[in-house]
Amino acid sequence: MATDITAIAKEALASKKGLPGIAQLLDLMLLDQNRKHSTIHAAAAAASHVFSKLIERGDFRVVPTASEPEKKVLAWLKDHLEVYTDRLADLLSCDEPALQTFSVDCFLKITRAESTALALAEKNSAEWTFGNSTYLKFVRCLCSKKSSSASTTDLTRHVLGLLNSWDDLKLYFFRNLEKVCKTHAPQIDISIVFDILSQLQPFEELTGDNWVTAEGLGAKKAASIAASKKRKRPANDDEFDDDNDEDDEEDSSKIPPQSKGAHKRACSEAWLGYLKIPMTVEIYKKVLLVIHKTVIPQLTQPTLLIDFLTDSYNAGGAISLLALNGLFTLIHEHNLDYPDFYTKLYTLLDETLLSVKYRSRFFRLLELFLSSAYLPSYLVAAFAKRLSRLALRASPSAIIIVIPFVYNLLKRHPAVITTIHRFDVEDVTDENTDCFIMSENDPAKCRALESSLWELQTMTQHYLPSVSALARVFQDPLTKPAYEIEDFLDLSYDTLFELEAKKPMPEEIPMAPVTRDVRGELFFDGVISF
Amino acid sequence: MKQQLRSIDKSASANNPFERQFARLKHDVLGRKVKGVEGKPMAQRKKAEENRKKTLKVEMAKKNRVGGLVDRRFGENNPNLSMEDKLMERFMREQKGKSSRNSSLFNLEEEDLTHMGQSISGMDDYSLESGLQRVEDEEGNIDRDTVKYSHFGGFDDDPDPDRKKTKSEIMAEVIAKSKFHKHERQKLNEEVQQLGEEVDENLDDLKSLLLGTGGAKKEEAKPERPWRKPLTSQEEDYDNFIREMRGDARAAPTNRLKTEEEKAFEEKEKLEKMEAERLARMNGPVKSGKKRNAQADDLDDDFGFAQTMPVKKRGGRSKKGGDEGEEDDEDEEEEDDDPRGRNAMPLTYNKDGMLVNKEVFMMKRKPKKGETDEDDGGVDNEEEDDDEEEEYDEDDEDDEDDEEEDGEDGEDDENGNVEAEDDLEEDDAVELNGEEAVDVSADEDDEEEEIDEAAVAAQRAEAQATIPYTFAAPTDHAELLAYVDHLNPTDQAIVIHRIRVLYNAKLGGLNKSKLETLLRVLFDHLQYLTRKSPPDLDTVNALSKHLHELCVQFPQIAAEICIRRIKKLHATIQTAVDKSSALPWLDDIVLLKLVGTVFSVSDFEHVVGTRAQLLMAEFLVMCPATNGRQALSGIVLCQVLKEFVKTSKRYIPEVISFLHSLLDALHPSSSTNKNLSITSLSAPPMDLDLKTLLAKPATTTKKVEQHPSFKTDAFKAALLATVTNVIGQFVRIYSDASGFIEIFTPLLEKLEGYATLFQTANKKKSSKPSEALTNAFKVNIDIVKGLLASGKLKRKPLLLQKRKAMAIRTFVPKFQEHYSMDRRFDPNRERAKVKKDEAEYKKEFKGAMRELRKDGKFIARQRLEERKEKDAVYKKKMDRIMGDLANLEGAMRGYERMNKK
Repeated sequence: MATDITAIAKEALASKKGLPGIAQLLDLMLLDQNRKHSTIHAAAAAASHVFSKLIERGDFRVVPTASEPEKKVLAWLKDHLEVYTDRLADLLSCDEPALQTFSVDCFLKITRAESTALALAEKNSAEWTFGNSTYLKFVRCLCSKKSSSASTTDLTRHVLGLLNSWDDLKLYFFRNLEKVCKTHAPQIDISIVFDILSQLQPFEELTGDNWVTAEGLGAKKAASIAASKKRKRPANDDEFDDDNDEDDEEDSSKIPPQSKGAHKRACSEAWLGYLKIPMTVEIYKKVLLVIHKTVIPQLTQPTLLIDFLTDSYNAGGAISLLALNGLFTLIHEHNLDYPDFYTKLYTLLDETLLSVKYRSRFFRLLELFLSSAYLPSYLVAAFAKRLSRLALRASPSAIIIVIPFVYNLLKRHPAVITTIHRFDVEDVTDENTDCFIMSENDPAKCRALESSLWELQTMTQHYLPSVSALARVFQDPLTKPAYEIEDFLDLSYDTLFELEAKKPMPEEIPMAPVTRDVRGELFFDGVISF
Repeated sequence: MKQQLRSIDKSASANNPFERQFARLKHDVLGRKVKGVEGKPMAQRKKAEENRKKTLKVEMAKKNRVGGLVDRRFGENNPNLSMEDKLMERFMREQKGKSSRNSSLFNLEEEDLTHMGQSISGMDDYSLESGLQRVEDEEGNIDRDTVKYSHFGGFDDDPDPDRKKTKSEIMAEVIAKSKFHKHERQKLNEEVQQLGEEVDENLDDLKSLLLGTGGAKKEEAKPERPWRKPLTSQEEDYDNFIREMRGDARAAPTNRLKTEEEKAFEEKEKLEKMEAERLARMNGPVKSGKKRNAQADDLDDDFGFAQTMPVKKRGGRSKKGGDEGEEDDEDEEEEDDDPRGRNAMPLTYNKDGMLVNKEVFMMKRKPKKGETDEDDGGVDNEEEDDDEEEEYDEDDEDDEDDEEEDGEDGEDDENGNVEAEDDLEEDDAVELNGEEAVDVSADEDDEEEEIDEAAVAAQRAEAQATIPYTFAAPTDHAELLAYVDHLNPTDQAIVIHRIRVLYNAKLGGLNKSKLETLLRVLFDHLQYLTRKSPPDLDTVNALSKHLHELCVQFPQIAAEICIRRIKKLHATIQTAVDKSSALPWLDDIVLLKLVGTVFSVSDFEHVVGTRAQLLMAEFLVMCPATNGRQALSGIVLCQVLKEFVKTSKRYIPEVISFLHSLLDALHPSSSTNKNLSITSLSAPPMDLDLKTLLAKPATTTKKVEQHPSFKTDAFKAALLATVTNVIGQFVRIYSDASGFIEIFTPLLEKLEGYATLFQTANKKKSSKPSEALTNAFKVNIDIVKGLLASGKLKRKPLLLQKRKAMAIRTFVPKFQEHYSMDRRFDPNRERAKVKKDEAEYKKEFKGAMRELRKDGKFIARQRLEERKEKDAVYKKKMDRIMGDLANLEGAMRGYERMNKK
């Protein structure tokens, strides 16, 4: 079978008579249940070889002087190239990882051939060229939704390897992605796009070496680099291996554009285009998680993210918490002026806050936001009071964060100490009730400064000795240096158990005295009756 | 004349201004007497000189002298004693020395007794009396002389009545009197002995009378004197009997029996001590007043996990706790508990002469009867039974007391917390004071009997009889199961009890390790019982006491087992993919409940208690209530946690959070969880039988099948009622917490939401909420409201930073009333004493130095005098010799001159 395929391919390349064999190859590439993967693989490889050779040979060039049959042949070839790329797209979305990655390689081969042909056609112009038509299709297919069973981890890894090693591919990936996002938004698979986008390395330096199409033009050095890259060539691709070496080096003077700005613009446009697509909550969270680290530095105009981040911040719940990080970066580094920032921050302190996954992240930021000594004391008091109120129903790991946090607040803002020590009882009109209004979302109106932190005082009675010991700091003189919140952030029941387990077994274990069940009290009655 | 002159001289020298010396006073105050202002140096010097002459000079004279006579007679050198006193004292000493030297103090033979100055050895024994009798005449009148000399004050008729008796005479009389009395006593003894001999003679008769046999022999033996004859067998018996009697342990003096008040007081003290220790543990490490300055590394050190200081303190405290633990241990060792409350002595009668321990007395017979019914040759068994029974008896007395105390301790705890039970406390106090050990046991026995009668007594007796009395100590659960699996709960408890008695740790050997294994096996058994379907909770209840006692006996092992189980449960939560499947089943709940009762979980930090609480809290948080089973096990966990924090009142945020979420979930309009929301309020709450609802499924199928009743409204109504009850319980526990209002106001709002729901439903008539549910709500809402209202009254703003105000330094001079140079006004008593001692030492040292110096001078002076004397003598001698020689020479010269002439 394999020999047949090579024979067909050779025939197709040898003469025009052999060209109909291509159709046969394409038929062999059809995904069928009883067709072997190796056959598909071989057929795809052969077809890609044939097409790339044909393209390089200039058979696809539109020659104005061409005769009618030649035009027909050209049209036929173009149709079949279209069919071929469709088949490759099918392979890309099939559930066999090897075929997926191989189809990527085939796409790239065609792209390179196209670029080379384009370059040869416009030999006189110094402009560097990139045959984008197939590549655009590739990007569209890559980003469109796959069948649910298909795993994309291998594919993304392969694509990422390629994109990160070839600058032109990356550049055009960004450009194409932006186009795709505009045109085919509903079909886009956001998760795979996110995986690729978030893991693409930022442009560091553009040497011109890392251009896959330039290599196609025959840069020897580039070829050697390509050989060293394993991912570039799958192992079963041997027969075409020598092709690269045969390419004689010519016209290495055509150096592709190295403007960093262009690349960056492409990148940021791709991101902005991507962020406009409606997202699922998980992806949304993922995006927000990385936005301050990977997205903002790559953008030409980070302020364009303001809308996105403000919307997220106003969304409420975990999304708001996550948006905080990006928003902070914008405020901090890009001079964003955000009115009522603290009021909104205050509203984030709701009942779920102390139990969400991103708790430690939030507290890290909150510590940062409240670290200024110039904040009004009513605001700080409101935060302290609301946090301690929330702690009343929180797990010990959360309480362990809240106590040092409030302690730090008190240290930094001595005016707030009235919440744990009221000097002037007369000032408070109604001292018996807690005048703090929990439901009030405006820190200026919640009257926290007139209240006391009874909640934290309750924590001295907490069942966990470490918590109750920690809660006693408020009774000591506030002379200790502020706590390092980072030390308290990553506790959970598991770590608390481990800490308990580390404690040595005491010599004597206090036991309860044996009681006589005088009143016929049972140890365990097992029935709750009414 | 001479005397007159001397007296004049004396008075003159006393007032001679030249003899006196005055120190000038700088600030003289009238009326104040200052020591040492006036001195008489000459007189002093003279006195000192005299003293030295008396002592030092004598010593000097004696120096380097060997031998000589030392007058050691008492008082010879004491000029203050008169001659008479000296002699008296000497006599006393002589007598004393004699008596102490000689052990035969009461030896009458060696001493010559006197009467009226005459030796009585010469007299007839009763001559004195007879003498007196003799002087009576026929009418019984006593003659004058007798009256005069021997009646009232008769010894007084000295020839010279005015003369006072010397002490020696008085002493002699006293001695004589005492000797006379001694003699009297001796005589009495002899009489008793004689009587005894007579009884001996008649013993045979008596014996035969008593025994009712051997009448003939007695007659045979009668004519002869018993001790003249070789010993008969009977006599030998008698001798043996006597010897045995002598050999028997005499009644040793015991500690004084304590009075009721003392006993009650001791018990009270013990209880108070235990409670104080528990409180100390509960309150946790107290920060000491001394505080070091804050340092850079404070951050981590102060964080509760790695506290070093508290740990050290804990060590100290744990030592204390250790003591207590030891006590417990001892108690436990003695304790060989007896659930059936039998008393030690089978034959004990109370004040009215009634047999106190009828049951015990009968009990000894009971098993025997059974055995004789059952098998004839059960001799071995019987013996063993007896042994066992004796063990019971020995131990039981202690038992009763201990249990009594323990029981009351527990009750006290409860009462301390629940204010409403004040009257009960009073009852306890009455009991405590008015109880007598015997009475208690009697009461108990009565109770026991009643219960016995209530339960079919005969059947039980039979069952007990069928239980063997000895068991090989079970080494694993299978063995124990072989013993007890077919038995009913009470009998299982009896088996365990018998094993514990048989291998009492006190009996030594390997028993301790056997009991330890028994404890492990019992834990396995507990697990087995609670995992059985249906779970056997009756047996669990019956065995819980044994389990508890064994745990107290071997706390380390109990802790180890419990910690292992807790760890395992924690691991299941952590690893479970579906958190709802990790919820505790009945067996876990029973174990956690056991932890709560066995260990002192009210402690600030307890190696098992803290972990158990952490685990339960984790359950409540990690496994949200989304279906009936979760909600039920969650609410049961809340109840178990309530037991944990009942006394310590520790705050568990997870419980409050869980109650909130459950109330939300049960609400008919609950949006999040349709699984649990009540559809109709009219269904009366069902009884939640945990045995069926929470039993661990036998097959570990992935899918936890839901009990069919979880979907019913009756179940949901029951859950709702339980939740409100739990809220009512916790609200009481936390009523003193400083954040009490903040904790319970939101819960109250939710409860009131339900209440309004009931009201609207009430109006509809069609779906009238059930009576039980509305009642539960009404009662608990009232409780919460009332406590919240009182909490609001108690509420005070926090004053955590309140410190004792620092005193401002004062510059006003300190004015001391009645100041004196000599007194020290140091407030620190110890320092004042040290200073005083130092000053005294210095003074004495100076004085001693001065004296020594003066001594030295005196000695030098003395030597000089001696030398001078010697020199003078020598010079005189030489002068005489020289004079003689000069005379001689002069004579010779004269003679020569005469010759020349």
